Amino acid sequence: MNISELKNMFADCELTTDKIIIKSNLKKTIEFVKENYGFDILKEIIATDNQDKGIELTYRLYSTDDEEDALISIFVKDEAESIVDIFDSACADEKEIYDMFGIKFIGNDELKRLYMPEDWEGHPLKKDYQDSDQRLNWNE
Amino acid sequence: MNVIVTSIDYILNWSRANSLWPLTFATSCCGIEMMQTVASNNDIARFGSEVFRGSPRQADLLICAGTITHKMAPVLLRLYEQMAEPKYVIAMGACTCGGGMFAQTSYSVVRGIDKIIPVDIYLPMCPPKPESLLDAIKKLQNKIKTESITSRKEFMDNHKSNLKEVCGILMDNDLSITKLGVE
Repeated sequence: MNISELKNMFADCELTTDKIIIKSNLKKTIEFVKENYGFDILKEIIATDNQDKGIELTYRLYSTDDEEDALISIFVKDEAESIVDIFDSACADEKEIYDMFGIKFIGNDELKRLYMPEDWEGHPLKKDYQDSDQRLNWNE
Repeated sequence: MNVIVTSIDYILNWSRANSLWPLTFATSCCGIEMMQTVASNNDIARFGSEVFRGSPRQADLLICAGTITHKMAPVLLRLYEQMAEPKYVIAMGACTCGGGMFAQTSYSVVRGIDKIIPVDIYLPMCPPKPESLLDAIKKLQNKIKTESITSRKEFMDNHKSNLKEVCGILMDNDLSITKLGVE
């Protein structure tokens, strides 16, 4: 992928050794990359809690023609744009990230807990998670 | 009177111990060992337990093979409640005995199924070998053979009195046992 073309479109993106870090316009960027560079499969969405910097969402896209990956990442606090309109397969990943990190994906109507019980308190994979749910301490 | 009770006990226990029908309930890797126990190399049929039932109504024995998470816990309780008396439980594997390798820091695993349902035989190890499961079944059979019909009733009453508390924790203080589909 040609980074300079992306730079013309979105002035605030930054290239590291392995990925493109953008600051905003997540949905637009992914749509642009999909349509112009043929990245037609969303392999996965990775979330990492970096505490002060916020939660990093990394989208791994795959091109079946060129057989290569593209990594696009963005730092968010507690809200992000949903990309279910572009990739249907993002829905399950977004649900899981909501469950584990508490990020609300705007535009995803089916957002609910995937692995934890529906009435669970807190989001377990956040660094500041406290074991507050009484189910963890029962009969001890 | 005692003579009659012990004679009935002898016949009932003999038939119960030698036809333990397990419920097909495997939640993780211990299930693989359970399958191997059923297969011809170890052949659980030698002990009368080869008939794995898909429905809890037809089963006598719940071999809980694998990790129980908080989301799975109400399901386990429901299956146990749906089984007909007499019913027995083997906690198979370290996770079901006390949390196993998840006991220290996990956010999702129940530390031992004895917090939910009464357990007859604990079978630790991660996962237990098929021989160990056969040993557990032999031990359970010996336990059944020493039972009396009167003590069995006490045991179930004790469980029923604990049930309300367990439901309260599992169901987020909404104390409705009917939610489980249990009478």
